Amino acid sequence: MNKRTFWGFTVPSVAVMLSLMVVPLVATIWLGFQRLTLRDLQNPEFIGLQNYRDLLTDPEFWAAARWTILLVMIVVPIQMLLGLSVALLLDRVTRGRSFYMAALLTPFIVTPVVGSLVYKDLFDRGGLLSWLYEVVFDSPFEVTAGNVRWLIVIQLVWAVTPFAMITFFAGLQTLPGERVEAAQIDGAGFWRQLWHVTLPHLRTLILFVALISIMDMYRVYDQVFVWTGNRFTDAHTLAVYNVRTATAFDIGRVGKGNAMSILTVIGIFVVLIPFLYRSYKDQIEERN
Amino acid sequence: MAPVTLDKITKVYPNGFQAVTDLSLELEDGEFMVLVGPSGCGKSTALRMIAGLEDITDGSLVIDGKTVNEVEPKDRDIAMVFQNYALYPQMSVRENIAFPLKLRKVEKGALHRQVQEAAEILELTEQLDKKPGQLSGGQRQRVAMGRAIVRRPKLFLMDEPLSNLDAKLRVQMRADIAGIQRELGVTTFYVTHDQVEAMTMGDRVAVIKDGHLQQVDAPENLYANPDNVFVAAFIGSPSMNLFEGVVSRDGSTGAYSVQLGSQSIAVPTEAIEARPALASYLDQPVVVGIRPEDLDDAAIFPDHPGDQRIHATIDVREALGAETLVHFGVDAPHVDSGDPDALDELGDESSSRCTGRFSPLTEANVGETIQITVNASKFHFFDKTSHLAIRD
Repeated sequence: MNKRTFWGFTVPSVAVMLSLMVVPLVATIWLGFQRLTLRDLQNPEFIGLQNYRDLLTDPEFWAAARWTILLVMIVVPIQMLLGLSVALLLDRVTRGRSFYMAALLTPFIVTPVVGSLVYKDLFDRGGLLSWLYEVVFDSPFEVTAGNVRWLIVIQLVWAVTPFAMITFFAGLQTLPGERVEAAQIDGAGFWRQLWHVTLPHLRTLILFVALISIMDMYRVYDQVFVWTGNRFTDAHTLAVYNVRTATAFDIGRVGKGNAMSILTVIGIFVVLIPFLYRSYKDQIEERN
Repeated sequence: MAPVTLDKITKVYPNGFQAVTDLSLELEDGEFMVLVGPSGCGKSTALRMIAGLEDITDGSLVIDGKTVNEVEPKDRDIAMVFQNYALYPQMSVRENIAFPLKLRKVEKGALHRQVQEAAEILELTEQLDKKPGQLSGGQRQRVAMGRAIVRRPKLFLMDEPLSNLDAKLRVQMRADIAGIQRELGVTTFYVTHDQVEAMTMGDRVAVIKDGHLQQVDAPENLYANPDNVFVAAFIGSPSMNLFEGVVSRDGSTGAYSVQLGSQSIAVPTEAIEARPALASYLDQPVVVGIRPEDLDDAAIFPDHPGDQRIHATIDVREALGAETLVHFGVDAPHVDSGDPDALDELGDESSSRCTGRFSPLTEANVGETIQITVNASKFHFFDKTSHLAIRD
């Protein structure tokens, strides 16, 4: 291959990657060191690590970080367990499988903000669930700082489980039937088949779903914002906190928002390192 | 180690497809039974019913005196070797072999001993700590065997276990499996589509087609006395040559002959009289079969009777070293044996392709018309409509 052909084929994709990935990342890092408000976007002023210092001493930042990590720890395991269970059930269904599949995938297809609004409607005055609540508990349902977190958890589980389900279901389709039958004849019941045959087969997918879901939970915005708006700031996740910081009009600080993004990236990375390492090792093992 | 009886076992799938019909077989204690047939004949379904992986629609399955139709696979005391080995990829060879023992809560010392013993029989001791992914196809096959023999079950089931191996390895594993089976004396039910495996491994061979049992017999008998046209053509490679022909008796001399198209071949009287039933078929079209090894180049056997020869033009010549296969046409109508795996169009209403297994000394070349000797006392005769053998 001559040089011209080589560059001809590689330059377009390299250019796209540079402009969409590297340039924004560098810009974000640079902006993180500036004082920059929405009111005056023309005149950034270099302030070193001041943005980071402000963030790390802001109790609201830490509250949002704690809540975000808690969300990851609650939602991701539930999502994986539920997704796996539904996938196993769906794998056994032969009649009407495509109907169930379509129905189960709906939460995944609906735009998050739309799904959240519909879900919120159920709890509004005159909503089906708030009516049910009133019937059962004989008092009107009200969203409070106490229960809004649970409402968010439930809605997130609803929204993200289909992703785990469809991934695990796809994985189950590649599980060789012979291996399951061999385990049956060897004397394994349902749980042992699950443990010794199904789960090892899904291993890489379990890692993959965990990886993606953790990242997703870190970035949760729509669902939380729909539920809290500017109220219930206790239930704000990092992403909501970030937007609030960066866009609050008079004190809005774009620079601080960028610093916050960098911190989030570092945070995600720290959490994901064990997963990345594991899947890297798997790849190496598979190649040998 | 146990006798096994299949009594009129039938399998009908929910969509109405009848895969196996009234299959009855009796396996003696320690017997190696091979079930052979073309693809889609129901042989794997039969095996899976014995394993308990498929429900038995009708009939009964008795293992060691107990009817096990409704018994779970794991409680039938059987072991199965699968076509694709079905090893557990995350476990080492040792763990794979030990798995069925572990599930049965065999005590540690005994477990270790049994695994070691199985590994020694299969020459796997060096590989015990490797993962299946690090093994060759033949070694994986051995591990699958190990997992089966370690438990000393009452019955081995094997579903085309050699079909993923290359030809050389297959020949070796064929002998190895037969040897191990004899050593352990475990009743074995082996399914294959390869008639060579069937002939070389089985104590007895059951031929099945379209879910119907065709014939069960020792390999030599199956080869020498096929019950019908299908078995005749299926067992043996290259296949038996089949044509439509007429047996007739000369009014004045009383000599018998077979008319194949435009050529007539004299048949010794003893050969005809050994099949009393043939008397009522005289002068009618019957199916005539002749094995390739009963044909040869007349140039090498000048003493062969002149009236037991045909002449033909050679189309293809395949020199295999120990023998030379020669293909030629005969102007007699072709008979279809009904083997769905037979790919070649072997003939039509007026001509048949015929294969001869000639001595390697033959100098006959493609395009030459030569004299071919026919061992006429080895003719096989079948009814034209029922395709059943005409014997007694």
